[in-house]
Amino acid sequence: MTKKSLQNIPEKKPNNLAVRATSISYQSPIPPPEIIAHYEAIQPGFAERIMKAFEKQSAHRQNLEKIVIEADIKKSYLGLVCGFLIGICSIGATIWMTALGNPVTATIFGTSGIVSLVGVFVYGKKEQTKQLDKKQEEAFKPANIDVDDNKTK
Amino acid sequence: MTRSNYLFTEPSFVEGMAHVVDIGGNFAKYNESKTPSEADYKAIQLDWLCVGDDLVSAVNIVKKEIKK
Repeated sequence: MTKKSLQNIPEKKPNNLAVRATSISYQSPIPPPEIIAHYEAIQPGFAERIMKAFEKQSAHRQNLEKIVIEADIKKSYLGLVCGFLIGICSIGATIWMTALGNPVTATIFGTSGIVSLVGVFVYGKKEQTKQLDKKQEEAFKPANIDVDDNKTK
Repeated sequence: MTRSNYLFTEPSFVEGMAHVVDIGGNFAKYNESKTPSEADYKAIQLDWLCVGDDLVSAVNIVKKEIKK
């Protein structure tokens, strides 16, 4: 077939069929206004209810976080006091045993006190690193509104 | 909690105990950023993600109410 003959072939006209696919996605820390507007369209007043629930939820979360942090700080102080007492008791027992003429027992008391506190330090440091790494992984994942069911991802 | 306390770990009993031998003051560790701008960016992003979480929770609460 020559180039000329190819040009003579009539072009096949497509049927008047159109396919339109719409996909909406959003990447934002807060849901787009359209989603809220859809709820408002279902029944007027829903958007206001959502905002009220949001304010309540926000206040509840902040209050909860405050309580948890305050409790954790108290626990931390308690740990500090307990650690201090362990250290003091260990040093006291070592001095007492040395004064009584029991160097072996004194060494055991002294070493066990120091080793336990250093062990707690190392363990705490490890746990701290693990927790911070986990936070780095999870903190920036956005929460999604699941339209099909009420699960929050 | 992960977002709000991103910078630091939650204080705990073990952490408090460990501070007894933390003479050098290097026990505390933070999620650091390479530059101050990056730190600001992350802080703003996490603040808004918290707001988003609350809004999503609110939407889900209202959705449950609607279903009832």
